[in-house]
Amino acid sequence: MKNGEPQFAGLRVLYLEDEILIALDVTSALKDAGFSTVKTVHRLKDAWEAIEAEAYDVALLDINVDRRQTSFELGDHLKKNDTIVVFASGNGTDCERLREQGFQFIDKPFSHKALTETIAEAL
Amino acid sequence: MDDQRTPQFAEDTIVLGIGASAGGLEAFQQLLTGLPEDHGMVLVLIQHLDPDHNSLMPELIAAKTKSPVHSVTDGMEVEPGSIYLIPPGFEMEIEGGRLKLEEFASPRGLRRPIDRFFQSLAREHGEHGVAVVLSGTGSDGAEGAREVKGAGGLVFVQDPREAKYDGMPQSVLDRGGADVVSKANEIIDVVRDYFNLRIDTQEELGEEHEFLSRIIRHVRFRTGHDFSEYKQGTMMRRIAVRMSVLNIARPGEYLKYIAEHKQEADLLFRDLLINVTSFFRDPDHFETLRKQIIPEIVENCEEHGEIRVWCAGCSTGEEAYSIAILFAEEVSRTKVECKVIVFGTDIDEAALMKARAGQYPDSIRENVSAELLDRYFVPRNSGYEVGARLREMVRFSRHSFVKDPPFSKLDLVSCRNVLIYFKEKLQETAVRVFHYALVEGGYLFVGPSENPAPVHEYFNEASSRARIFRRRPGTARPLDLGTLSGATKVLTSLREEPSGGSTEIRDVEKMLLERHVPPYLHVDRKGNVVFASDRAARYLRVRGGKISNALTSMIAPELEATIRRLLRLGEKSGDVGELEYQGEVNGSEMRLVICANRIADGSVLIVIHDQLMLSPDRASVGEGAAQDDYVRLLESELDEAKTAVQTTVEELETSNEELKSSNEEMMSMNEELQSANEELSTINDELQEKLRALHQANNDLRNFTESARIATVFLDDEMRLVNFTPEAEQYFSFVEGDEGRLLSDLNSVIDHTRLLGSCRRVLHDQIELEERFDSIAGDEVLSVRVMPYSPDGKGARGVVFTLQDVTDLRQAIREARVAQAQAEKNANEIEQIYRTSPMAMALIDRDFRYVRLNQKLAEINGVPLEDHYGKTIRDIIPAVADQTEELARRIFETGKPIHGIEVKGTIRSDPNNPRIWLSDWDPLMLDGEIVAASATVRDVTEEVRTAESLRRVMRELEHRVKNMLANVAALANQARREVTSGKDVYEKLTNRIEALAKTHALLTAEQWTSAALHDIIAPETEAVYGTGKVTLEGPNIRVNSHATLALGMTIHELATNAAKYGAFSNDEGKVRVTWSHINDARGDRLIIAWEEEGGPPVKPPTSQGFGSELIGAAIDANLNGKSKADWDESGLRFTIELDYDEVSNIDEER
Repeated sequence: MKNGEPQFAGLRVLYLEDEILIALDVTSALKDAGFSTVKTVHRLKDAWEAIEAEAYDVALLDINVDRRQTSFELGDHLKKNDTIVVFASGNGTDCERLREQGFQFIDKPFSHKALTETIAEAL
Repeated sequence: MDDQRTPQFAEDTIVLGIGASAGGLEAFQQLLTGLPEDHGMVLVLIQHLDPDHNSLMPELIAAKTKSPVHSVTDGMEVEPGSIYLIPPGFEMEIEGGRLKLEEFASPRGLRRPIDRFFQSLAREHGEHGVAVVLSGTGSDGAEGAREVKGAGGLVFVQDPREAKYDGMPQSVLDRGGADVVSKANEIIDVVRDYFNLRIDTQEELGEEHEFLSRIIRHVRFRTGHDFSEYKQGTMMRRIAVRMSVLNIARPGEYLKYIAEHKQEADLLFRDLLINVTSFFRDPDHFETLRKQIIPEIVENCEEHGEIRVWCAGCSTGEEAYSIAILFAEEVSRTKVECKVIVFGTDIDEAALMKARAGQYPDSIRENVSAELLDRYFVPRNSGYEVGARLREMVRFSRHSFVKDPPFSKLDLVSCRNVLIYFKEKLQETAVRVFHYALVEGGYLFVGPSENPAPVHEYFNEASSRARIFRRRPGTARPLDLGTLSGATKVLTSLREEPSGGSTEIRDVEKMLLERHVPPYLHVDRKGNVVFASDRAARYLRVRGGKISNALTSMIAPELEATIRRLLRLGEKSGDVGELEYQGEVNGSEMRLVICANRIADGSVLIVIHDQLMLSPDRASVGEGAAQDDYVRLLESELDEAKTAVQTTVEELETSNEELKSSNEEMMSMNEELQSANEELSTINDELQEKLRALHQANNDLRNFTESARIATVFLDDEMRLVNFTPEAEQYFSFVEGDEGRLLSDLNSVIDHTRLLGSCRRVLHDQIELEERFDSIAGDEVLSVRVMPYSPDGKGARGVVFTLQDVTDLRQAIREARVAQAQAEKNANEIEQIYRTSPMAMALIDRDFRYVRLNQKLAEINGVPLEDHYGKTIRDIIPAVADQTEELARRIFETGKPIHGIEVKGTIRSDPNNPRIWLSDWDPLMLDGEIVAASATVRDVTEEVRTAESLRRVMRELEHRVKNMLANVAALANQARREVTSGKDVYEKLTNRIEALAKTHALLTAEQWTSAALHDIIAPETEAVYGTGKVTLEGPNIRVNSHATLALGMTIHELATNAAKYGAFSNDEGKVRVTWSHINDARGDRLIIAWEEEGGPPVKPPTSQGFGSELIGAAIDANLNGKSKADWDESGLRFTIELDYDEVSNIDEER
């Protein structure tokens, strides 16, 4: 694992998560998976700032972030710019709709293995 | 004279005192109309004013004249040309050119301000004073007017026929005080003419001595009273007044006037006698009389004796009665038995009439005390009448004390204010008359200003101050009253003539007359013997029966016939008659020749010649044929005369009877007439009243018609115009005077033919109708109402129609209809909304009854909608009545809405299912009043229950999370025990999980809202190491759940680090955590500082561990704050800076 999956090499990933411990853990997992760049942000505002500055190949977005806000709008925007978007949520109600719209969805909590498989599937 | 007059008040300024009462304002205003601008007179108005009210007079008067009008203040100086008004509550006098005010001393009803002012006017201004009495009731002014007149002034009264109230003018006339009766608006003119004329007249009269004596002769001729010995000045003034009043400028004209007008002499006579008198005039003097004189007279009176008093010139009797009262009082006091007689005499019969009547006005109360009034007077309608006791004592008669024989044996003579008018000679005569009439020691009482010189010759002063004199003893000189009488003048001259010659001649004549002259008789023109010579006595004889001094009854009967014939002598002076008598006289044969000679004054001298010689040519009377013939002739004449007399007497008796019976008839007719008259006057009164009512009704009707402002036209049966209101002129070309013209002849703005048609129909049917007419111009719509009408109120027919412009009305009706439709539509919409609203709604009245509600509420209540009406909340849902009635009551009481009130209860149809309703209450206002409480109700039972179950689920969930964390911690511990190496890793894990659990628990306790900073920090520090090692300092700040979690992890990491390497790793180490809220230029921040000391020496870490990474993620990334570690050797200093808003903004997550 340490060397990561070769399929993610050279890819840049944006990770939005406001839970501190999860963010730390998943960030490590993404780095371990072989992404060349992992940008972790805790706030929606920071995420918007990040995509202004840089383009990302993959975005892992927690849906409910930053005090009752959702990351749907951000996801739409990224998808239009050809970024692969994976929404993550502990609440499965939006799952079907998002998948129909061409998003990836991963149920929280998730294992590192499920994460990399989901991303890989989308690629 | 006005032009030369300076505005300064001078002695000859004419001062008008004007007295008025009820109706006086109008009269005074009329008087002012005659007032020119430069009149130069002083007008002083004395009114009876209500003392309790301010008078509007000054304003009312000022509006009528250009002269300055002053409301008088005390001491105000008068200026010519000004008008002065008395203020309310005062009486006023004029003195020295100033007006003085004095508050009324007497009670209301007794006040006589007009009299009082007139008196001062008379005193101060004499002949320049003018008293004017205008309309008013009562008699105020009458006394004062007399004084003004007495002082030479002029007195005007408003014509009683013109005056609104004639009481005051009439009483001045009754008291004889008026010079001129005139209309109010002519008074000023007459005053000015009068003074202009008087000045000229007096100058002219001054030179006309002959004029005055001719006037006096005339007055004497007419009235029998001689004024030649009266003072000339007074006479001239009075004559001048009369002339001015009659507007006669030249003395000659006045002489002509007085000769042609019989009554003028009387009027002048009355004016000359004008005498001011009142009860107890000059009270001081009467007081002296009462105290000194009368007691003495009464005391000296013999038992059952008689006290005789003469009041000469008593005028209207006040003085005589006053003296009588004093005597009566004294007699009662001393109880002396004596009789008191007071003779009141005057030459003015009119005045005496009043004196005898003894009726006096109310005003005598001022002069006669109530006690005396009560004792000697009887109250009458408008005053007092002297009582029987005074009437018994006082007798009035017409008598001139300088002409007629005086009374005698008098104890007191009162003659006041009479002598001043007499010249000295007449004064002396008067004094001598009084001297003659008084007993020795009797008293004479004269007026205060009288001091006739002759008095001192016959009298001693008894009281000089009171002008009382006492007769000196000694017999009185005989009086010669004939000097003033024409009738006795001849005799006096006869008697006096002989005294003109020498004594010698007189003796010779006397001798001659007595001895040698034949007997002679002097007979006056009436046949009375005036004188008989001694020797003539034997031809005279006294006969039985009534003694007469007619010659025919004194002469010897035998000579009677002869004398009778002789007395038929010619009337001419010098006529002579002579008859011869032959026969017996007194029993002896005589032959006498009797001559009669007519003397110049008409008397006859009869001389009897006793002689025997017969003369053949002398007619003889006596025995013989001639005599017989004569006797026969006489007897037959006598018979004839007797028969004639008899017949005449019978005729007279008959006619007397006839007269008597006709008189009776007349009397009865008079009675009938009187009663008829009374009836007529009653009818008249009734008619007057009816007329007044009719007038009123007519007036009301006219006012009503005019004020109605409705165009109305009255037509008779021929459609002729009878009457119309001014408003009708808008629609018809009516002008005044069109009455009587045919309506069809007059232009109108509406269709004439149709209108007349309608009128005829109404006239025929006698049923009113109403029709619409469009005006010919088309711009107006008129509503015409035609009604039958009877022009004379009886049988005559006519119509009356009114026109009303309804153009506006129609428009208004149209608009009102539109508005109404709109309103109905609005109401419908509201009704619709009400009905279909998902909200349950109701209106509740003050009795908590349903006024209105919608289906929704009916459903909630579980009762059909219709069944609600008229029922109260308690009737429908008793379970909530207590709560809702209270809410409704508050709405009605406060008018303020109450929202969001939960009401719990059950409805009747479902009593086992408690419900919850959310209700809003609002007042329903109508015209500013709360008419209903509006309730909006929503059934929230289900919502409330859902929320409750949600909360239950949440609590359960929290509980499970806690358990889950505990399970995880247990799993980690288990793993630690199982592993052989890396136990510290597991411990670290366990500790982190436990710290997370604690933070979780803390938040759960606060329902995931917020936590106090102190509570976040303490569990990892103070709770573990004690206060000895840990100091926590900072204000009470709460942070949100987000920050709580981040800070909880951060503190755990810092504490773990300290336990491993820092201040918690040895005994000496100490940790101080401080926090503060700083709001400055750099922002609103929360700063938390972690400071260690006393731990082992610090070395900065060589690489970043998970702890630092965690803190960085928590503070910097997650909370957007700044963290800074200062690895000082003495201890770690860690600073956290957070945006205050970010961490304190508390989410309401639940």
